[in-house]
Amino acid sequence: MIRKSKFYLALGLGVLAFSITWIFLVFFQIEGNIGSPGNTPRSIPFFLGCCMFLLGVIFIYQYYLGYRPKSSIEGIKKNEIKNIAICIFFFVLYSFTLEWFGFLISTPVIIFLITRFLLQEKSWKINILFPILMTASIYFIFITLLNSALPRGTIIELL
Amino acid sequence: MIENLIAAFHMTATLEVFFAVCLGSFAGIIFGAIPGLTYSMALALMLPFTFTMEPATGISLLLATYIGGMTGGSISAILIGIPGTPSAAATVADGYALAKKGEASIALGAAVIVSTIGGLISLIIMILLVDFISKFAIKFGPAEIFMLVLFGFSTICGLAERSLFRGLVAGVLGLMLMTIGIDELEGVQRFTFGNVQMLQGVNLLVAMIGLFAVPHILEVFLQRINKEDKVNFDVGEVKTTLPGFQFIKKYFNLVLRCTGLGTSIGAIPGSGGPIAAFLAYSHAKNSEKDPKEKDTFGKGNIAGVVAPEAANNAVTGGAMVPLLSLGIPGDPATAIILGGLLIHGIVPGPMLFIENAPAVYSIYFAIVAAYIVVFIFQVNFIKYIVKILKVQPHHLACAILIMVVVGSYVIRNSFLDIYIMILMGLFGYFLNRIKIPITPVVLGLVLGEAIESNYRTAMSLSSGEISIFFSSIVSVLFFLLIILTIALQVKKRILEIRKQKNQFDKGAA
Amino acid sequence: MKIVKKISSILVAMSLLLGSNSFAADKFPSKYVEMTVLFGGTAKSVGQLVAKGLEKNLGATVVPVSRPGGGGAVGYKYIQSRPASGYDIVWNSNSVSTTFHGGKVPFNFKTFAPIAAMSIEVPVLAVKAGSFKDINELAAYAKKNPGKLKVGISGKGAFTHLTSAIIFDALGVKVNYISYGKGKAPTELLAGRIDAAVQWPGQFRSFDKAGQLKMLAATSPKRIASDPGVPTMQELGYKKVDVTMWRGLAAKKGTPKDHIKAIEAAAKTYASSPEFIAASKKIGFEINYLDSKAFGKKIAADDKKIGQLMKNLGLKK
Repeated sequence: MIRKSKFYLALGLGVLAFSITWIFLVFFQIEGNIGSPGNTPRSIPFFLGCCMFLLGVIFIYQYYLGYRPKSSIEGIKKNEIKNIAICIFFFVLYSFTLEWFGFLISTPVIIFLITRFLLQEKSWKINILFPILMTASIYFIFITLLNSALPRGTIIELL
Repeated sequence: MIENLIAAFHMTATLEVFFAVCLGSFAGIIFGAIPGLTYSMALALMLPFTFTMEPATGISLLLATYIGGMTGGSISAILIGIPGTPSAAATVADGYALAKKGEASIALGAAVIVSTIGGLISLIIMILLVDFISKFAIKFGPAEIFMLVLFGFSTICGLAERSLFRGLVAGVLGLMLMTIGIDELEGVQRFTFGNVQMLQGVNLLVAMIGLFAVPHILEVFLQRINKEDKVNFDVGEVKTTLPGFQFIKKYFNLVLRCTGLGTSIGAIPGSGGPIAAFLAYSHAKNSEKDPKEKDTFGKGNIAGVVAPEAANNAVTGGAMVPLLSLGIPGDPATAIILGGLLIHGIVPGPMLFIENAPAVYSIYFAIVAAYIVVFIFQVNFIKYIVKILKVQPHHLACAILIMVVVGSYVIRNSFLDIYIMILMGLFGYFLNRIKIPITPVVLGLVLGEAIESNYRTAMSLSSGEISIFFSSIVSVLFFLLIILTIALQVKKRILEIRKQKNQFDKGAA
Repeated sequence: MKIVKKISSILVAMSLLLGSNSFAADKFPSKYVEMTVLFGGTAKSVGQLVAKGLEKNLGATVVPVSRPGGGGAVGYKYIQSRPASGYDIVWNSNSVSTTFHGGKVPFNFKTFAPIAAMSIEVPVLAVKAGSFKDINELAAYAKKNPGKLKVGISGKGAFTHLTSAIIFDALGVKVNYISYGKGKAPTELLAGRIDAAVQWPGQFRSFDKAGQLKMLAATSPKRIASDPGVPTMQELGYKKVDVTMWRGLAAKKGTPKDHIKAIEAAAKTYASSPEFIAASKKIGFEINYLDSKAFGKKIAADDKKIGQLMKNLGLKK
């Protein structure tokens, strides 16, 4: 029970830290001396930062009042962070290969890697057919039907 | 008028137009339904093909795509909980809950039926009242639109399920994200860290795809990795029944009200589908008298699908008013349609109705035809579409992964957008874990630009006088509505706290 | 290990398949050309038309690809980061100068090799019908009430802002600029929230015909073909006013000469084609074909003018 009720403290502190960083950025990332007072490029972001700060204070106040979240917040499961990192790695890997090797090469390879190794798919039919069909259908829609462009791949172009 | 109608009928009642409408509706539904692809994208890619077509054919193609996309967005929202378009974001909560109960086909059927009703009625309203509505729409200056948008933002109170403040955190986060990039009004860079790519800012569609689709993919992948593989619902239980006449009778009143709401919001340039859908959703919830029924909102109440779907399709009729009579597109999709009209020599504005009335009527015919075709398509396809639930979730998730990466790239042909999408997805997963709802983030994203630009334009119109926001009846009216919404919410919370306290006291005694 | 081998063999096979195109690339173009479009609206519509036209005359697919953002900065940056092969061209405009002088990109027009100018668009000054009879009345009012006249522009540093500044400098009056994120000028004028607006004539034409708005002046030296009733600023006695938005094609500097020549030739053929002429009337832009050399001179001259103007307005960074 004690661990759970700390939720609002953690949330409040997190929101406060975020809002302070945001307000800090407002002054360093936006030019301010433009426009009339209350109507500069800074005003709305600054106002939003203040709202966030206020919400953080409210959460901490709720913590002092002894609020508990109505539905329980699950703690971090075993391996959760590691597994998420792996999944996100595949996302980033696909984006990266898309940029450098182009759509036609990266898509079937990445789908194959995901189904075979991440999802442990045993059926060879799915492992081979799925990547090819998926690539072909996207290629068909965008290139053949809609005459659009998909990444050609920087490395492929230099060849 | 009759001559014009006949001339318009001759223009549209051709085989080419019929094919164009079928093709457009189909493409719209498909692009709307697949997460990662959007109907704005379909419109943009199709536009060049309409150049060489006859005007009526080309414009029918674009309009049918627009309408197909608007209705198609609900399919993925209901089936997998990822809205296909921002307008369908309000449908997710109840639609997905219904699908989990195995009632996907009822929800889909309801969405199609009310979409068609909403769209057609709004078109009729538009045809009859176009002069009046366009005069009314002109009255909406920056101050009035600001108040309207703020009122839309106040629906967060209804969307935040567990805690109002957590909902607000999400809403403010959404607003914050939209300030990144270039500030169009002063031409100033904000939060770009000197990076040229960052000037493009956060795209609404990219962020929405990330927020909804990535957590879904992660969840399914994690289940698979942890060998907790479980199909969300009993596959054999996927029904294919459609809602019947009783259903229409029961919700007809609600549909009418939401249609009116959607039409009027669509007519005001710069607001559009998502606001209408969110307002309709909170209207449906608030107007429900039965407290038991009210409690089921967010847990699979069909009214939570009916209201936003009727409203967001009613926007299509409303949006034609500023588009045709003022030449002002309300959202990116209508902007592309405007481009198509111009290329075929149809210049929107007051003279359009006088000089080129047949063209206007042929647009009406095309919309009606598109709704009918979309309706027939969808009703017949529901049987097959729900079968997608029988696909292994991890295969579907893998396909969605590819689609969202390609989709977020294609929107602006930017690799940075892919990384932003992934980042937003991680962020969405994190918010899910600490039980901060995602829908208010989308609401913030949708409204962020409108809130800021209208506030600042109003302020510079009045040279910094805040009184401009209270200088017209319309804006004061919206202000009062905002106050009312907040007051009701505060009252409800206080009552809840008291009730808890009473129970606590009793328990202690 | 088996899998690694398999993947690498697939990779090699695919790269050979794709590479075969580029190895045989003696003739230009041997694969599709990507044309970066920087904006939506008319820029995009015309850009898509030009891409279609080039395709016919170039003998290869030309794909219009939109890369919006930062007033064109994002697209220019993309072209600058690509190899100078001629397979990446940009549908550019005066924004090449405004983005550089506005501090959005660190490189100027010299980064790009001009190919051909295709069109110009002329901004016009419009007011609500019945408010001001002509430009002299407007000038007289603004002189009497300095800083009172509200002029709608798309945003600070946008082309409509620069044009307005040139117009009102020529009139010798001070006005209050109101930025709109998007072009809603006609409704704001109709509702009387702003007094004047500078925008593209296409937005005003229908209202002008209906007698609701009045276009007072165009900023080009010659009258606009689609709106011949609108006098030019020069006719009205303000000889110095000459601002137009040109659009054309450019590639990255260092692109082989014959590649540029090939695209230039295709552009020239399309510029005089009946389709392009018909489109110009419908959409409301003027065809103004310039070859690579003349286009380069125009860009340089314009850049100087815009740089000076933005400096005067305090927008240069």
